[in-house]
Amino acid sequence: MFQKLSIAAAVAVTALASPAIAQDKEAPAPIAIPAPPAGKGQIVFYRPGGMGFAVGCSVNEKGQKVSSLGAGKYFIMVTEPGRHEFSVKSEAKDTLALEVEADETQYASCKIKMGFMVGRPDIRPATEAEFRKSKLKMVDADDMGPGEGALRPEQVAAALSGAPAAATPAAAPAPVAPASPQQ
Amino acid sequence: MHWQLLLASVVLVGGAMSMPAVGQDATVAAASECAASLTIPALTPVRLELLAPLGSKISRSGDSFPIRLAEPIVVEGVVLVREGTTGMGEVVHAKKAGGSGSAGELVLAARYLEVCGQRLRLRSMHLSSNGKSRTDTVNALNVASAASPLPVGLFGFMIHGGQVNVPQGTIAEAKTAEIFPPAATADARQVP
Repeated sequence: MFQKLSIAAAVAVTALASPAIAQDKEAPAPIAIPAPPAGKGQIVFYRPGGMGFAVGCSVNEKGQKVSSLGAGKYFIMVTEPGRHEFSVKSEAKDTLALEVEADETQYASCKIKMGFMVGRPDIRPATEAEFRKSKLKMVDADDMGPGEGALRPEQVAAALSGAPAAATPAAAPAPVAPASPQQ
Repeated sequence: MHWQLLLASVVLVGGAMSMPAVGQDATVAAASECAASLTIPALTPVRLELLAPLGSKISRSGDSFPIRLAEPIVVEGVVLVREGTTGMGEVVHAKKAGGSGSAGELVLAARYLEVCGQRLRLRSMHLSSNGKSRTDTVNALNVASAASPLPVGLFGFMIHGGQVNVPQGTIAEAKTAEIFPPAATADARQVP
């Protein structure tokens, strides 16, 4: 009798727990990208997972590191409108120039392609749809460059919540937090 | 014969009468375009036609290319800039497709239209595109190579990605970058 009751209780607990498990398995919430500050533009750099996870893809502009970009990571760079040229380097160097527009968000991806000794990072323009396909996490603040450029996680969180950002190495994002469609 | 001559004279007279009318319409349009009584707001959408073939293989970063207004800019029912007005765009970034499956890349920007001797600056022409990347194919080949006694992965260096080709006549969307004419901006600033 006791055994039967125990089994029934276990089944009931399992039944109660199953919705929670199902919730855990649901797709994660889409990544929220804050709008850039008024008059500025931004670029979302990301690196889908896959081959070459051990090879770095450090994004630089004018010789200054903007941020490292590990496999499955992304970061947001707020910058002035105009032409910007970015480079990534390992065994070989690759560059990408983008036209940053005020109040708009653009996307760029880094993939590791085959090289002679190690993989070669390949940086290229991308779209928001491509960005949304990948399962990504934001780059840790420790891996971001020392100068202006990549938004720290707390700055992104502040921008999304509408709270004023703390002291910023880059310009503070606008306190509006819609999903940012490419305009 | 008499009827034919009469018909021909009617056609000639009719044509001669109607020509000035067409010319007047054009003058009115030109006058409205340059009179600056109306202004074109910033971020007005424009449709442009690319007048040159572009591509990741044939274009170089920094190249200029001609563009033309595909549809007139109309403000409050008045045609302020006529269809066919020409201007320039710029290749911001061009990279040929390469080995290891890397695709060609092309980033283009619209710069300006020539309107009444002034430049109407443009922005936001999102016509960036990539060719077909085959890096995943090359990576799969490398994985297969690891299980093979032959170095088949080396063939990956010979696999090229696809090029980007933007044919002449491609239509692209862009926006005006500022209030036009610029004098209108100054007037707007003076108004308290």
